[in-house]
Amino acid sequence: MTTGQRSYETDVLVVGGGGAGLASAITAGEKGCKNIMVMEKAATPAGSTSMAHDIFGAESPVQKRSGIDAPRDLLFKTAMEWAHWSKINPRLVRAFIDKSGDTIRWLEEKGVRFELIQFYPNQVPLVRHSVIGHGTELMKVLRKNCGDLGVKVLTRTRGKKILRDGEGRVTGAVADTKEGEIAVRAKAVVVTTGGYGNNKEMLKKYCAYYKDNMTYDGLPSNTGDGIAMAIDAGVATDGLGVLNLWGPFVGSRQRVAFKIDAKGPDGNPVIMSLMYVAWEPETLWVNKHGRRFMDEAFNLAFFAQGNAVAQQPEGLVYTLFDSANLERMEKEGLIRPGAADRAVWLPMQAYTPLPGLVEAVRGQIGGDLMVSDSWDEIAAWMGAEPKTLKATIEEYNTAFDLGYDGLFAKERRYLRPLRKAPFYAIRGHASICDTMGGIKVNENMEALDTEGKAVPGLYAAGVTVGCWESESYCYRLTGHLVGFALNSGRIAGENAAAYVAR
Amino acid sequence: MAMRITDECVCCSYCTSACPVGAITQKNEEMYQIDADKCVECKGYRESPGCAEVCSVGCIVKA
Repeated sequence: MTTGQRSYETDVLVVGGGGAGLASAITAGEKGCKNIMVMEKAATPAGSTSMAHDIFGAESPVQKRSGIDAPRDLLFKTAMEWAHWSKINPRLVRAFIDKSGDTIRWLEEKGVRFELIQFYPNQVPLVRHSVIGHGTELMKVLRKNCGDLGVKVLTRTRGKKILRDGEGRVTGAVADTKEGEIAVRAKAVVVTTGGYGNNKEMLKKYCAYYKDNMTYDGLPSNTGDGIAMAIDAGVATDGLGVLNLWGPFVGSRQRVAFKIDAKGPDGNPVIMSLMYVAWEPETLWVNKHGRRFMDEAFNLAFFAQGNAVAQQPEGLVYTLFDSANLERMEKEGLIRPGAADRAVWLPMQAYTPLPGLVEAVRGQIGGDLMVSDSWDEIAAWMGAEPKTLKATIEEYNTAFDLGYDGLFAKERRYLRPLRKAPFYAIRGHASICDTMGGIKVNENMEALDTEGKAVPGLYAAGVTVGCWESESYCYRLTGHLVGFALNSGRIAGENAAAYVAR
Repeated sequence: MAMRITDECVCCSYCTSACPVGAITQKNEEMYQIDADKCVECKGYRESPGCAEVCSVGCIVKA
């Protein structure tokens, strides 16, 4: 212990106060553990869960009451097939999915309310438990439960070192606060510090396909502290370097939004973004070389497209459309109105007319939007060969005329020609929703060392751990980021409490 | 008449996309801020201030 260092003592120490962290703290408390402490780097224990909308659940009370058949076996197999049975740990995934229905019960008992909402058209089975009041309300409930159980929460406290004794047992952690360093002696430590999306050094070091133009739109506090601490303490990693991307993302984290003269279903004016326009399935997408790279209508299930965007030269893509299409969007509304934007709490429904859209979009010229009567000028702006770009447009217009996209078999109803000037191009890139790899754990959320042995007293949960998800969001298991956070958090909390009681 | 972000902010940035007048910017690593001269509490735009409605930790209040 160094001079001036404050010290604390507890049974279970949770490093990171997001959804996984508070779920593990509460669960440890419910299992009879009396001394629990949570340290959170930010000003409020919130984490990425507070930014979310929904949580995955299988065979939950909500589903049962609604007559929805969402079998754990089916969803487990869906998850494993999505990851080719190779990129994720089947026991870990099984443990999470098996627990998920009970976690919905657990949350309902605490007062959280849900409605089952589809994430994409005709989703079966419905697994997305949309939280009334969103992640904000969910975390509020978890914070209250921590308070009720007497969990000690230290905010603005950044974990930096996991302590182990001569026999390898975990004995606590050291953290930084504004008032200096603190040391917490603990019988068990649960690491739940989230991903490292806001840590460019780690992204460059661990992720082979990371590009500098990828934006990150999660919490800035997600700098991978717990993963770094665990590596320093001799813990193994799993799947490190896997990113959960989405896109094309337009603009920066402080996204450009503009008000238009239309009301959403809540009666409030719609706030629009160029990104929503860029995601219309009836547009044409090309890379920097002016070549198409995917079926644009695939964005009805939009997470995988983030990976496709990231694979393009310089990680750049361009959404192209003509004036007739923009006028159509103004008159009829968007087909896919920004449902993936996490600020969707200013809702806008599909096919809601958007009066003033054309003028508002034109007001965004400059930056990521180019408008011109000439494809040559647009090609020059993109840095593409004009001949290639024009050939792509010609091919796409012909596909519309034929009613058949011979290249990517895009559905006929989403084919729309680009013939009425002026023409529009919106530049986009991939954005990091979160990182997927991290601390290696088993299905009990015990952290494993490089020999595959559990480190006594060390647990990890949530996005901090690896190999629960492969390189793109398995959208059929909608809400599984928060779902994994809370379920793995509960499992870690149960096991940490049992370890302490031994 | 303006809204204010308290020091419970975790920088999720949701408020920026809800603001119809562009009054919200990032102040530093730890919080966002609302320009009181620009903020109109969404009068004429929304029934209630959009930033407070979308804030992920509920830390936006009337100044």
